[in-house]
Amino acid sequence: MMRWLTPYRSNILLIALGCAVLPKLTASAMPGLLPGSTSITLAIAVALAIAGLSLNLLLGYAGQISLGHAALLGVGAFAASVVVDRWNGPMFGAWAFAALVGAAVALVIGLPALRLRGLYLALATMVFGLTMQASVLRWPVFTRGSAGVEVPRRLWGDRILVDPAIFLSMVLLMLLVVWIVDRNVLRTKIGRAFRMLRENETAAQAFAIDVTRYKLLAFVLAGAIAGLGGALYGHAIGLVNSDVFPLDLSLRIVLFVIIGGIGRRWGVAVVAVLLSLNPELPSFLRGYDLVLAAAIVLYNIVRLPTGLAGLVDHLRDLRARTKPSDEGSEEMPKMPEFAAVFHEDPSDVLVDRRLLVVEGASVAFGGLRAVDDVSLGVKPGTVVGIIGPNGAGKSTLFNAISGFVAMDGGTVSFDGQPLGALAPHARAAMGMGRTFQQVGLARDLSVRENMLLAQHQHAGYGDAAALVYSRSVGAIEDTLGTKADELIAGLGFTSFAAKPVGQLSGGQQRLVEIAAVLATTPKLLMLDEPTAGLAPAAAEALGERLAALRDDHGQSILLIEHNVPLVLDLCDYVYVLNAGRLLAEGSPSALGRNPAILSAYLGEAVA
Amino acid sequence: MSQALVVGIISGGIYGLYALGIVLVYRGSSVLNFAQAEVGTFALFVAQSIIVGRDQPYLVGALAAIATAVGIGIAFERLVVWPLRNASRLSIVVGTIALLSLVVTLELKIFGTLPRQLDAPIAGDGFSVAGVIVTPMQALSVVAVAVIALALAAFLRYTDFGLSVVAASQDAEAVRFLGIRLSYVSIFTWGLAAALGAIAALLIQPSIGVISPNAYGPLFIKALGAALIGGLTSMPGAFVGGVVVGVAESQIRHATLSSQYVGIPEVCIFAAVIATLLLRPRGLLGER
Repeated sequence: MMRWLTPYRSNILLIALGCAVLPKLTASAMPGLLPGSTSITLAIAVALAIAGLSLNLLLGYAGQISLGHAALLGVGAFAASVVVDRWNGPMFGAWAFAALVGAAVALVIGLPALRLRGLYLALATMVFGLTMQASVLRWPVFTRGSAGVEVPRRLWGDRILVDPAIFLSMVLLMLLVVWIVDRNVLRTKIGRAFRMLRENETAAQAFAIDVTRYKLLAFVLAGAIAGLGGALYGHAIGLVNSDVFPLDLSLRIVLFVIIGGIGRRWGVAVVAVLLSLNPELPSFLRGYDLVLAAAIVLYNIVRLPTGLAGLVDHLRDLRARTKPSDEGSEEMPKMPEFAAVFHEDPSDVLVDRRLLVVEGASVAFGGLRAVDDVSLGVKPGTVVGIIGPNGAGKSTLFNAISGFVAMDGGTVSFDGQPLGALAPHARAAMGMGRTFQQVGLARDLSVRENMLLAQHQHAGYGDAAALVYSRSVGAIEDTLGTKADELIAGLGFTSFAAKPVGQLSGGQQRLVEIAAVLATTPKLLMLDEPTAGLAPAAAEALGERLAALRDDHGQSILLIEHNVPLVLDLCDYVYVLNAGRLLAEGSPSALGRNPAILSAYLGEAVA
Repeated sequence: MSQALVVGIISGGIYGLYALGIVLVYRGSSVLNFAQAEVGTFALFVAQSIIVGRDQPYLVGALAAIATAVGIGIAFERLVVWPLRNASRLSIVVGTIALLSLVVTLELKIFGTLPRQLDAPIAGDGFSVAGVIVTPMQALSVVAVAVIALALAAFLRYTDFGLSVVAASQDAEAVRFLGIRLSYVSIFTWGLAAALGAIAALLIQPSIGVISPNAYGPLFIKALGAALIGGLTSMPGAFVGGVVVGVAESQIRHATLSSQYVGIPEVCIFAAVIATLLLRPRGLLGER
């Protein structure tokens, strides 16, 4: 049953159903449902719900705030007016044009967002909204020098006027389209990438996610939806000028999202419609809905950060808690089977060359030379260890190799290619997979979602295909899902596949992270202290697994580790780093014969 | 000196008052107050409805406006800032955004959407100073800004309480040593910032003319621009920033007076604010 109703089919079904049912529904039943409301007030409310969904996509999924959303609506409304009123074009064409213009303007707001975070982004977008209202939207290009422009509900040219009830059904249909696009975003790599950049921008890059690209994509999508919403809003009102899109409309949209629940489609849409129908509220509340809403927000900022939808979840959790729980075991499951992950033949890797060559790498922070003229190499199919005391520069060296820290000198080449200043996500896409000391996963996403996320670069479909969830997207997503389930089964984590990663123990998170990085099918697996947080027995078992990865699959591994016995046991070659410089290098047996080095710089008793 | 330059300096001083409110709150609570300018606008509505609606003297209306603003500031501090003093700063910022939306909505609901009129407290012909025409209102505003700035500077420097306001965010322990309760310092900071917003709104009103929510929105851009230029933490910097913004605004406005593109100064200030946020987020004069 559920197999038959694939996302692809359910999308088509929903649209068909919407086209068939909505016009009849709005013409007859709808106005009677909510006494006092007309088709037009309902259309306004639905247009604002679309605006709410736009901000929800930006803020709730990608974590980028906008306090200037009304300006985007304004841009959409003016764009629609230009097409319908000035060019006598078709109404649907006007909506497409409004979406396009909205996307373009949002792209411009998105550019500062690449540098600005949180509060500063909020300020920048608010100032943008104020400026648009105070000046740009007042320019004669938009207003034609009059008090406002008309956005008539004309289907085509100066002919057919659209009946309000039919217009409402069109607006509802557009809401449905936005809804479906939104849903498609969430269940494809786009939505996963959005949420990963909200959660952990650094780790996103290690999963080969181009942060710049996806941030801008979030703005563009939100801008397109807001532009469409603005066009519909304009058509519903009929006459617009810049004062139709003031700061308080932007704030109103933010309130929709905060009260409805950040990232919760249903909550946002419902709250947006309810708050926008304010003339239909009981008279003692009339006009004070936003005051009330603002008061609720003030009261709930801390208490209920996930809004109304969060409240529903909370109640569901309470009910679930009374049922006996079959999980909650904190102990480590059997040592994971990482081998399930290999998509490709290990013989792909160039065998006759060194996979990674670092020459004369230097990194300075201010006056401190954290990494000083370090050269090292990794041959394919070997495990290479880096050891050294805390502060020796091991992690900085890792960051330099994987592109997170710029080098002040030296070169890195990988797989025969010099990397230069290549961005981290591009290095990851070349096959450099790495873990982080602070586990590089999306903590709020489930184990399974993280596994899907890790396969980002194997999701070989375009953004446009993802937005409509084409058949091929469905097929690829199925494959990724199967792979994710295999990976999780291999880890023995099936029982908590749906648990947020943040709720797992530290050791479990580390294993999930290693499995996730392997899911990117790296040519070189770079592990930053993989046994930190593991019990001794588990650490030993992990060592065996890593050895098996090398022996059975030819996996190359570069490893930072404090557990010296493990390193000497596992590695084919070891570098000793101290105060940013290479102190010694050699095979473990050679280094093992030199206990002076080990005891002096590692402070470990080495048997 | 050109007329535009003088006008710029005078309005710049008023922007400085707004910016000073932003700086005080930022220093005291590490929060950027999105509602800083709007609380002043609300107070201005109160003044108008008392002076025109109730036919009271200007001074009564002005004092009521300042009292209203202080009340809002203190209420917000008590209800949101103080209970959240150990929470993430971002939740207080969201709180100021909610306050902003609350105040805007109240303006529309209580005072309506129609622009309101209010005559300047002192009328009369302008007088000429070194070839530049200055209206009595402009003279009053220069005097008011200077008196407030100097009085505040003296208070903050020479009284224990003033010193603790300056020091509260950096060294809470030292403030406790002085025997001053942090909660009073916090109340004072938010109340004073709100009062500055109200005074600034009263002073700028004659040059804007009508009172309507939309006409006063861009003031936040200018206040923020001034505060950012001044470095967000520096009180003299807030005035320097205010004058920079004011002069730039009046010069650009003067140069684009005949253009059909309204609001070029706002667009320029917007661009400058974005550039400052991008390149020097601690502000032009702020410590790095």
